[in-house]
Amino acid sequence: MPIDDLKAFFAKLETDAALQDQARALQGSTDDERVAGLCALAADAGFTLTPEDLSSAAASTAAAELDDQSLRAVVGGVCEITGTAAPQFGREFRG
Amino acid sequence: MSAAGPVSPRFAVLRPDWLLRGYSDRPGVLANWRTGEARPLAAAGAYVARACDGHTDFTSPIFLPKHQATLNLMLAEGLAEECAYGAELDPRQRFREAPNRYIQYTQWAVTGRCNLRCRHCYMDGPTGRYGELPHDVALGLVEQFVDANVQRLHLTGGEPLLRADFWELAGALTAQRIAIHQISTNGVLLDDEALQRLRDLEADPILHFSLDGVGTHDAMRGCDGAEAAAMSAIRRAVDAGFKVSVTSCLDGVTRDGMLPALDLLTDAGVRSWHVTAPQAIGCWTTASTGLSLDEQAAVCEPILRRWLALGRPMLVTLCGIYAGAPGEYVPPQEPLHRCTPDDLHCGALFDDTAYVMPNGRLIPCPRFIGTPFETALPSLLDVSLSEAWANEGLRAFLGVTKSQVLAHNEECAACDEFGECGAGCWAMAYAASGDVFGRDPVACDLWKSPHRRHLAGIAAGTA
Repeated sequence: MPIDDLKAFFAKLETDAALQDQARALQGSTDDERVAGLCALAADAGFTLTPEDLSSAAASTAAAELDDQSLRAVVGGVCEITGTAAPQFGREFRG
Repeated sequence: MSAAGPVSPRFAVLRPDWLLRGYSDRPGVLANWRTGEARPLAAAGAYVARACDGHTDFTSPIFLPKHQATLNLMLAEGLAEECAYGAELDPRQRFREAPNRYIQYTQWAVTGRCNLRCRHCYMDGPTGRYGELPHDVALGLVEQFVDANVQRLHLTGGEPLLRADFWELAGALTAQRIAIHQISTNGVLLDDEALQRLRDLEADPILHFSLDGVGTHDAMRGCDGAEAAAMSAIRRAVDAGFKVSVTSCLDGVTRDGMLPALDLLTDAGVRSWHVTAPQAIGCWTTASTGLSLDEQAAVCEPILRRWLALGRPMLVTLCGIYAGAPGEYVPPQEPLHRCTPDDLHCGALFDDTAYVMPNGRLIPCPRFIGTPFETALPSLLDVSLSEAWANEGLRAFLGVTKSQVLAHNEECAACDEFGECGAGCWAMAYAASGDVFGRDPVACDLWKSPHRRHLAGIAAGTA
């Protein structure tokens, strides 16, 4: 189930600072080497990932890959002062 | 991936005002240290934000299209900007994780002393009952705020500018990139030099003043000249470009000064005005000039009509009876929010907001000053803020849901107004009956009265 592994690996990557450091260290090499390195990193972490999986994921459209929850969290934000009671106040002073 | 041909590397950095913070219950929050604005991030957002370091290539296979889309959103929202390789982040912007849950907003009463003698002070300011912490201890609290990743502070008192080391404390906060989001002051000490020092901090706080009516302020504040000083400070703060908000306490002494205050504050260019009845805590527990809800409404209606005639010049809140935004009237979208039993009981606090008393005690809300809860909750002189934030008693407060209140309060459970009122405020319930889960008589009167609907009708032009 490579797609599941791909999702699971990236879910771990998003939250594991040490793994992120290792992944960023792959950047100095060529594209092919970076892909191979990332697959190796995934294997070390217990996931099966192939260059084809990554190519497939990269070729997919951003919209199809968007995580609505993630997007909302980025653009979101509630009124931190009084919740729903004074949203105008928040907007007023954020402008 | 190489089959797609060479792709230009793509780098980004957080924009200078934005910091990346993490907490035990949140993977990341982007915080603007000047404005206090916060953007909570999901895991993918935090992952992308951490990579906005000027050194991480976003064309790398370690990023999926959803991460690219998230980056694009951050760029569009002004949270980050594209850059050449090697652009440096200020070290204070970099991701820093605190061991505690998210603390989004903290009010810090830096002193319990005051230079006025207000009849309604919830802090017993005229007696200086709560004093203030020594300089080195107060600086230690700043370090605690840093360690706990407090995102923004509201500095209050007593009169915060009365602290001899106020500017040093404020400078320590901004040096650590903690947003000074608001400063509450009576204005007496806010001279031009103070405004300039505030400007030099590069912070962008809301300056929140008290003005208890025109011709009535001094009587409420117990000092001659307080009104002239407050109005002078308000005008100078607006002229200096600060965002200015004003609260006015309404009682039998100040009622006649409220309507003239609207004209004065409009002329001064105040951004928001809050008329409120004093709460039955601190000095006000022995006062005898409080107004009934009907009397408050009788004061608020002409204020509303005048505010409409002036073209809705500012945000106003009138004793909970009416709240209106400035500018053109926009019909409210009904319902804005209907309370449910699953909501946290205090809609103002959520579970990420706290209040630090002048003596270092950490309590949920200033309305609990002087109650037995005050001494039952942790002191930052004994434990760190990170530890105190996990305190069982404090969590019990912050985590209470409305369902817990309804289970103890049959009247609220059966009330048709619950969806709007949400069973009121537990501090007001405690003040009335000694039971935080009891009936809040102030909210009960307010929501069952016709005044809210009547004033909303006036604003909508239907009454």
